[in-house]
Amino acid sequence: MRDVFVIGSGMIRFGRYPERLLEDFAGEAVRAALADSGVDPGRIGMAVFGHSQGGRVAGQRVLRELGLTGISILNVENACAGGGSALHTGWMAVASGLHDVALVVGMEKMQKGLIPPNPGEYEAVLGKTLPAKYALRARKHMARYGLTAAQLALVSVKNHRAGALNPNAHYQKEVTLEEVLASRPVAEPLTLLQCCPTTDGAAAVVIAGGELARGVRQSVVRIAATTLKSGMYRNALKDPLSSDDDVATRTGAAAYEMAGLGPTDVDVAEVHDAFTIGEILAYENLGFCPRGQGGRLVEEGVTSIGGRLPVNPSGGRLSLGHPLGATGVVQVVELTRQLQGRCGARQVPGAKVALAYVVGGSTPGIGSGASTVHILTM
Amino acid sequence: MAEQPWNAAGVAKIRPRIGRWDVAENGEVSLVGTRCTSCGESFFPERRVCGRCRSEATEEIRLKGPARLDSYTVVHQLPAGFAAPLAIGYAALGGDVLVLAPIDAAPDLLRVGMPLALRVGVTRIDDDGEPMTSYRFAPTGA
Repeated sequence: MRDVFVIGSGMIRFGRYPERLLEDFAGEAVRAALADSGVDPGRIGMAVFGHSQGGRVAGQRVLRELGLTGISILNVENACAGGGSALHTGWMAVASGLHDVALVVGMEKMQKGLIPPNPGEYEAVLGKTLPAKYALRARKHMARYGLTAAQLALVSVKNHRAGALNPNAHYQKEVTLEEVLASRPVAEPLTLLQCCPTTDGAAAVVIAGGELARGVRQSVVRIAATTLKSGMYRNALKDPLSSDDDVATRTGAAAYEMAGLGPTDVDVAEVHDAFTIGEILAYENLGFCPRGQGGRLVEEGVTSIGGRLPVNPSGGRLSLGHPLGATGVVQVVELTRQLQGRCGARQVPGAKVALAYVVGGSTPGIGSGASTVHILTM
Repeated sequence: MAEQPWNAAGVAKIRPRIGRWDVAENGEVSLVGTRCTSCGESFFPERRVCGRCRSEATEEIRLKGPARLDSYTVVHQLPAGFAAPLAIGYAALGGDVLVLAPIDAAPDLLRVGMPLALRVGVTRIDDDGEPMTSYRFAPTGA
């Protein structure tokens, strides 16, 4: 396997676009990434699209509008981990030498409100909505480790503060701790401002290997690790970790091994904060702090911009927004630009190592269906 | 006329499979689960292949209360067919099988570790207007 680099990145401003087609705004993200890379579009051998609700061959519909036809195009569905899974797939195509340049796109046009369950998801059928899944994990963490409602809410305060500095975020407005705690309950202890909004969006990166990765317009960022894992059976009453914590921990550990790095090497991270508790658990599963200490980490400001390890400087899912398939790619857009020093008011100074983590697909018996971790280095 | 297996939109109607239960003559509710005879792991709902060791050597077991509440939430935003707010939780049955079900209890009374009994009741109204009955939890003695 050869080294693979991110040579261009692009995105649209995330938001609600009821009047716009997916093909239209995803194409805008693709054009931005191509322009950023400066690469001749004729050099692209493969395009991989992560999305859950774009319908059949949505990637082909996007690229038809740009005249990028005839190449290998693959549509990847892996719920909220679809974008990360698409990047993993594109990386395999380039690292193997099959293609020199690949385009990876994450995109989603969302439906309003709750994501409806499939009839085979027997827990969801009994009322376990996605917010409820995370609420159950939060309550467990509170009972076991003493996580407080205020610590949870601080994740939302922190990420909205970062989002207010990101011109591409859906919500660019700070919120106070009191506002977060007083917003209406969705699944206790999670309140509305602790749940990601409904957001449309698209993001794209151009990745390349070999000679093509040199001499491009922007300084290149290396993909030092890419890992994709699925959830497996764990009995939380007997095994050390629940299925959900286990898959995140395994995906992270495999990525650190692949990169030859550890949690203390990470300068900046984007993690899955679809719900506030998700970010707390990500700290612990990715080794940013010992188990049970995630609440303290956010409380002490370690993960704020200006802290030792800023997490979700983009504003995260809570403020930037969470168009399912787009998330895994937009995290890498943000981190690539952080490493390149292009992030303005929310820049993490001198960042050299960045980590992106997404997880998705609530599946009874195996926890999260898919999880990816990417480590980028300068 | 036989019921059509699809709805007006042409989408297949599949009844959610939430697992089986029994109600004894004395009213005691038990859930029908599976125990792997190779590694001893127990599951609910039933399964043909063990989720831990992949063995197909399994036997039917009955899981009865009391259960111990492991985690809970009160859900305020729910799909159509549910009455909000709805308390749900995971409780340990038979010692080490975590089962998720609605809980018939005032939200203020819920505590991690509390003992719960199994019961059966209507959990929601299905798309076709039929009430969906399921296993539920309630505080023991309620």
